[in-house]
Amino acid sequence: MKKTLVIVLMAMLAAMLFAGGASEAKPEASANVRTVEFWHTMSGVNATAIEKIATSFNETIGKEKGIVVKAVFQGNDNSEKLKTLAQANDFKNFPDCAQIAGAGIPSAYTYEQLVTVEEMLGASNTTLDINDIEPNMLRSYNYAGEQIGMPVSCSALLLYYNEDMLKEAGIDNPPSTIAELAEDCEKLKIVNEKGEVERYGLNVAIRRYQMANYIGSQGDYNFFGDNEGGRLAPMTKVTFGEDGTLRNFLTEWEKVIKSGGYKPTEDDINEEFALGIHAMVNMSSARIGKIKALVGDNFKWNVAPNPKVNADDKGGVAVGGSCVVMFNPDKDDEQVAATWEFVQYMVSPEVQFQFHKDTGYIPVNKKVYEQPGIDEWFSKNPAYKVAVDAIHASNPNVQEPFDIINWEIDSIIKNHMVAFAEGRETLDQCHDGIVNECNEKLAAYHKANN
Amino acid sequence: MANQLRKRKVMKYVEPLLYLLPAIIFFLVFTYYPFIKTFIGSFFLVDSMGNFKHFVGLENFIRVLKDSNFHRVCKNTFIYTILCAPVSILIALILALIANKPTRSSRVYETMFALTMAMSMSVAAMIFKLAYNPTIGALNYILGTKINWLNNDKWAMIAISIISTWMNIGYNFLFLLAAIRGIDGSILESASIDGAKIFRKTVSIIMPLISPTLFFLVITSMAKDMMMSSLALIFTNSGAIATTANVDTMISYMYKQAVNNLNYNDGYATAIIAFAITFILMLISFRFEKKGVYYN
Repeated sequence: MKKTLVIVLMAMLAAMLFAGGASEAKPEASANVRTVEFWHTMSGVNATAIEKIATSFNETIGKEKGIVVKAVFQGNDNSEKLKTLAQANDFKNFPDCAQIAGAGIPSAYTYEQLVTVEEMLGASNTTLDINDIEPNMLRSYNYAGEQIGMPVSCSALLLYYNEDMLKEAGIDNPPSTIAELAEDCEKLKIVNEKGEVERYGLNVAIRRYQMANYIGSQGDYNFFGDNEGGRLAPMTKVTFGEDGTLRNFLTEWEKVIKSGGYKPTEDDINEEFALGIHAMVNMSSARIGKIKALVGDNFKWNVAPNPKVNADDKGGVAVGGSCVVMFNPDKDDEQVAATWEFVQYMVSPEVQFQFHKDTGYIPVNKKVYEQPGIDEWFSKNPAYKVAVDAIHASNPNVQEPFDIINWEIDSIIKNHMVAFAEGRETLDQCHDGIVNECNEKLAAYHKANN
Repeated sequence: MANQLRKRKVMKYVEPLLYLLPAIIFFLVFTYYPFIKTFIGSFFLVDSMGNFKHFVGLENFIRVLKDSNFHRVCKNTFIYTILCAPVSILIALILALIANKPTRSSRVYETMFALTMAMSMSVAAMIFKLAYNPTIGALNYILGTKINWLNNDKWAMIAISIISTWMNIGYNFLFLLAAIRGIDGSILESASIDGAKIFRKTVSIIMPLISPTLFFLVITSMAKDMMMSSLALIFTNSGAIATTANVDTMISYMYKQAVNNLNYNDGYATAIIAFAITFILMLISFRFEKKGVYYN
């Protein structure tokens, strides 16, 4: 009896041990329905909006063609998850398509299971005209001359300003250059008798994202690193040191720091702006909806294009946001065709217009501007129009770099820029620190990976 | 008959091993194997896919030990450990002394004191993050200060430690309450008869008698605090939400090097260095056990 019990217990324990290891079968495709697994990275309102796309696809084209899209939230970094699966050689568990940020493109490119947008353009079920997609957004996800991902959610760096405060300080137009920004900061700051700043002119922590914009916008356009900022081949060094663009930026930015009205670290930037603690903030257009909700009718605010480093710069802003990449984990071309149906649907004018209205992301399809109701929408939401115009006025070569080790570069830039703003580093120390550390980290990466 | 006897003899040795097997398998797969792999990997050049390329000796260790970021995370980890472990144990001890006598209402405050144990780390972090906001947060408002808690290098680690201290009180409280209640009442009673006041009783009787529990809590808290990464990751994680001052600890630094930056070279070496430092601290503590802990 006892022995039997021991054996049964052992068997149960063994079963428990190996239960987790059994491969999880994908939802079985019944005879006429195919399931497409889509990993997204959105949360809150944006998640609702992106899941709505999947649902409406399932109810229309999906129903007609026997495709069901299953949208799964996988945290905010899908590239990391794909990388983990790839390291374990577990390509079977790859999704059919996944939303990733631009920085993940070079590693996605190395997966054999990747199906590029370029390859799909000649597919028999292609209805999309790739020329309808905004060129700078396409370039964001283009690597080594090949279109890898399809842009879905895009944004632009903007200057948000409190109109009432600017008017009160006698400023008619928002600053268009960093020099003007510095002057306005000086006018907008309020210092109490103890010497403490009660109202800042500007709040922003300069990180990789902002830096990519300020570097990229200079001249006609400018690359952050070699190989066109890593878009032709892996980036091996930063070029903003040798071409002088970093020094230009820091020289101008020093004026902002010296204005005394600049807060170089971010706490709850949205809320603080909404409470009138900062007159201006420098952040992505993706936050327009949030600011709108927070500010309500408390004061008048608006957005302006990102300030230029030099008055004659023409580059504009870099495209922020994410794209969708496709995979063929089961080596099943029909499955890929089904995924492609969904990807095309996501960027169709109607869907993009709705997604823009729901989330504030800039439409990726140019035909959105021919949609009924678009003029009325923009007249009611002028801030979105500023973001759209900023992207349209930008050179497609202005991009966030494919710098592979983006998190390291982000923290190097962030730390030196705060130290510079707080007076712990001189302009030269900040400049050399950023350039040398970025290059050291890139060299270390290539040493291990070449 | 002989056969059966032999079978029973074998079973006698094998049976306990069978019971231990599940735990051993878990330890092998999730603790010992990764540890050995990390140890070996720390002497190799490793690419971003985790493949070992060639032997580089101590190069990874030298680079990490020279890295000013690593110095900073070591300092952060020490500040955190020094602040967290003693303070939360001390507060829990005071609470346990207060709650010592079981009364009709004691259930209520016992539960209240222990409740922080049931808090989720990330939820607590979010709540404290709001309270720490320098301009609109509750803490500066109450204290009348203008401290930038999370974005100032001096304060950030202290701010993080406060969250963790608060969260650990419940766990420490439960252990200490059980230990204090376990003390034989007659000892305390005879001390009272001899005229010992509450302070004397605490220092000379209660403390020595609960020293094994205290020692256990100090050791486990210290190991846990040296290995802390959750709060650091929550406050410094990707995206635009968090732009905290550098509050990375040794383990969050290791995690970021390996997972975010795909730099297993620095990641492996950091893991081994962190293990070595913690291990040495543990050894020192166990030396103290011989002198300071009283087992009756």
